[in-house]
Amino acid sequence: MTASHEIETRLRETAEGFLGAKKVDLFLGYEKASLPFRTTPVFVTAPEEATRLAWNPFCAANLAAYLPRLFKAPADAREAKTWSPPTVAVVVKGCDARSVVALIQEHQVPRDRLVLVGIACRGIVDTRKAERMLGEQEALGAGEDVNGNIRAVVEDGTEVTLRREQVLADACLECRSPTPAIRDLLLGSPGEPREADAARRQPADFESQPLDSRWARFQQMISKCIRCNACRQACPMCYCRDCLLDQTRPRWIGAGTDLSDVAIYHLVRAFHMAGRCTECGACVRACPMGIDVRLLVRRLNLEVEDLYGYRPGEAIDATPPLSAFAMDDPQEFLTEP
Amino acid sequence: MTEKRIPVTDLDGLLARFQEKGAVYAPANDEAGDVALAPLARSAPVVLEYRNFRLSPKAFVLPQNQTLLCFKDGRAEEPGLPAGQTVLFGVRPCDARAMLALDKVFLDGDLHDPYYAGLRARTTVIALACTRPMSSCFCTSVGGGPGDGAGADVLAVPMDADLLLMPQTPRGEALLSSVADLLHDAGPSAVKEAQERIHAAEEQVAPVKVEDCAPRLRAAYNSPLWEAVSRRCLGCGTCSFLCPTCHCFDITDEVRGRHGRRVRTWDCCAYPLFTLHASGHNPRPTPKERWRQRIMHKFRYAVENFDRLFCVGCGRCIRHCPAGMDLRTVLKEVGA
Amino acid sequence: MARNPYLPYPARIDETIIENESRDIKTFRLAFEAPASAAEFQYLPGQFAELSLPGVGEAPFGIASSPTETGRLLFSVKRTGLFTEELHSLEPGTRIGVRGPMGKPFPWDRMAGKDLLIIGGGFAFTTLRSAIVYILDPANRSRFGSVLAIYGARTPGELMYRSDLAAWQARKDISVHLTVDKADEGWSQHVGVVTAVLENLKPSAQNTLAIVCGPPVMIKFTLLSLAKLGFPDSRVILSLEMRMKCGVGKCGRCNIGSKFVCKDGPVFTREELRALPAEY
Repeated sequence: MTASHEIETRLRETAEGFLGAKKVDLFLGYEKASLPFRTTPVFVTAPEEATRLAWNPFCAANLAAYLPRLFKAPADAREAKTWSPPTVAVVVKGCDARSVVALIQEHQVPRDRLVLVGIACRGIVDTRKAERMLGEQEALGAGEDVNGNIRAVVEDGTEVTLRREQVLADACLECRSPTPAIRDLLLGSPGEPREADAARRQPADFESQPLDSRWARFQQMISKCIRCNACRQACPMCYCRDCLLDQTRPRWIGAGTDLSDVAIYHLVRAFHMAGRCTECGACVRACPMGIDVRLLVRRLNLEVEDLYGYRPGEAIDATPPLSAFAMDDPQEFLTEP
Repeated sequence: MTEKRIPVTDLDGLLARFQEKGAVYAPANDEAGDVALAPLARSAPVVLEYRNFRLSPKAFVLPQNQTLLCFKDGRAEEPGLPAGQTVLFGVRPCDARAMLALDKVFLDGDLHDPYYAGLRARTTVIALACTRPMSSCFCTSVGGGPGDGAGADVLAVPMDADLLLMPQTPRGEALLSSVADLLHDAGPSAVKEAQERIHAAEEQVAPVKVEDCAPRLRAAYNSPLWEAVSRRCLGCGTCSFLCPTCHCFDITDEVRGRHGRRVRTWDCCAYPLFTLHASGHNPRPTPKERWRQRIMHKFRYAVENFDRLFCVGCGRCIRHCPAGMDLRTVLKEVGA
Repeated sequence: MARNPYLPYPARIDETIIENESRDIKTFRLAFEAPASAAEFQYLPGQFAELSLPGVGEAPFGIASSPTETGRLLFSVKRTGLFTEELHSLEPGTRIGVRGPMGKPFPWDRMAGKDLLIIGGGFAFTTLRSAIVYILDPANRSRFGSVLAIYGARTPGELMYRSDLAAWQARKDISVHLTVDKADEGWSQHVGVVTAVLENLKPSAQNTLAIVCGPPVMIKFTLLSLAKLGFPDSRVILSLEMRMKCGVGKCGRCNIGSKFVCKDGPVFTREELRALPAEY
């Protein structure tokens, strides 16, 4: 039995227990999707449905994105009178748990209504990487083998083994928080975080290029953008009811693919993520055009970390640096051009 | 209309000939290693081994953004119409068929859309039949098929060393006549072989129960299942933007000094702001109403209005949904 | 070849009239710049048009004038958002675009030979003004039976078209009942909701067609009262509002079920609405 399989069994038992004892109203986790290399979020409300829950290397979604909606009172005034916030158990990997913490800090979800079912994550498979590795063959099924690699069955019936390291998501290859720091229980044994500098390598590489080629690379990247907003909708930290970039009064950017509009969309969103993004990769996964949406945010997050010693989502009672000001806050960037 | 054939090795020559008269787009590898419709160029060799492109070709007739009016000093003027012909080679039959759905919306009598019509009239579609459908394809269940030529001007069927070219419209016939010197006649045995290959591909497409979906969906409008199936929707818009039949758009004005333009851009019914009134009222306030609208539009309202499904079974929405949603599952659950 | 449905007719604002006490409703009298445009813009009461301000955008408004008022094209606009705020700030002489006429009008063929019951609330009275002026025109009046109109607003100051209302109340060929939620001194007419006046007057449903325009709450209760009075669904006419953009049934925004409010409506019978999902 693989490690994932054990975790899955315990997860189902936990859900059945919580729901049966009415400890929670809703158990939010993952279930098998209709295509390989994917799972889909599942909202389990009855104990007998606990067997739908799955845990495997394809549990990619950041379920924290679904939480703010669950805690909003219904728009209908009459319904709102009889509504009370639910108690929700949610399956969280290391990055997801950090998102939940950030949401708690920003008062979008109440801690006392959440049961954080932490899972010690060993990394999630990037669906596109896996599919590309199979080339012209389509996978008809995929799972994890005892060595933690991915075994796929392709169309002609043969099995192909994909080495885990080759198909893990980029965010996972740089992950420093595989184990949820904040949790109510933990399934699986904590894995090793990636080396501390893994997350710095790519931004450093990019920054070492001359300015012209950085700008060219950035433009080339965003020229693929079709303004679908998937990156924003998938991100748990983008919960604003009326996004600045959709506003009409004033109208900050147009809705088309004019490069300056697209650039501002991505730049402004990156700035709004500084010190809040938990590097879960939901944006990259959601982007239909394969844009590395994390490029800029990584850099800004590292700046916040270096300047203020702050990594988002590690402690509920920490104050996000961009929400507070101390007289001795580092601010050389204000005078440096 | 007579069927023709061309050796695959002569394809580049054929496309180069088309390029003398206008723009040509053909499948080529992009930097990510995926195959996409790209402008024909020697630096981008044509690729014939692919399933389907990520982006549907609807952008050629309904671009992501399109200027409707130009403004100068408070006056509105129509922009110049695009000139020049475009040949699209390698469009899959599902995507070609999708254009017929778009035609129903945009080319309707008195309310004829000249912007769409202008692009459609100068775009020639050469569809390339599929030999290897994916597990997410279901074209055969929604009136199409891997070798269906509806919506295309020419249907190309890959054989071992040749491409069989079957004209589907007068425009397709004219196109092939213009390059008659490059083509050979295809005999009845070639046509028969092509049909067999297509049939073999059809057998590989897993069926989805879609008969009577319109009345079944009508009956299921208030089903509690909508809430359950839509909860995982993030409202990200990927499905609509990649879908070859989705066509909802927004119209906004952009200004720069004394000039400006009125532009239409792709929009999505899954977005929370889509139906928001100025008063704050929203007839579709939660993902449940929005997802239901999506399915209803494609599988019921379109049938009621145009006697046509607005889904061609290309499977893009299933492959690319970040939440792993599958409308085949939804159809099954709410129709049951 | 059909005209480009996205291209507005050039027009200009000739006059602006403040309609209500809170000054957030203004009526605009527009004139087409080209006589050919006026000739093409043939409309019937119940239809709407999209007003267009280059650089700002567009918004749909019911046509408040009647086609019998030649040379007088009126739109009443409530200031609520980006477009209407800009429109309200404009002076006579400013250029404006008009796209239309759009939508299906009130069912004039069916209304011929019937008694008419017209019920309006608040700002939605605009196309009802168009309808009433049209009916009362000497060329048309004999085609219709008796006409009873009930119009309600929050306060007397919020009633629109007050000079028209006074003129109608002085006529014998129409009966106009006005009501307000809250009276002021000097108000001697009804006080209370439109449905209360309706239930008091108890008009006969016999050979009568009812037209209802108003905010969703008013419509809801009015429909209940009409049902009580014996009006069948086929003889109750409503005009709906929806967020619109293209106005020609293509952008996909304003649909209720398979019907587009811009193209198949905005006028619907209750019977037609019952066949559609309650998503509006």
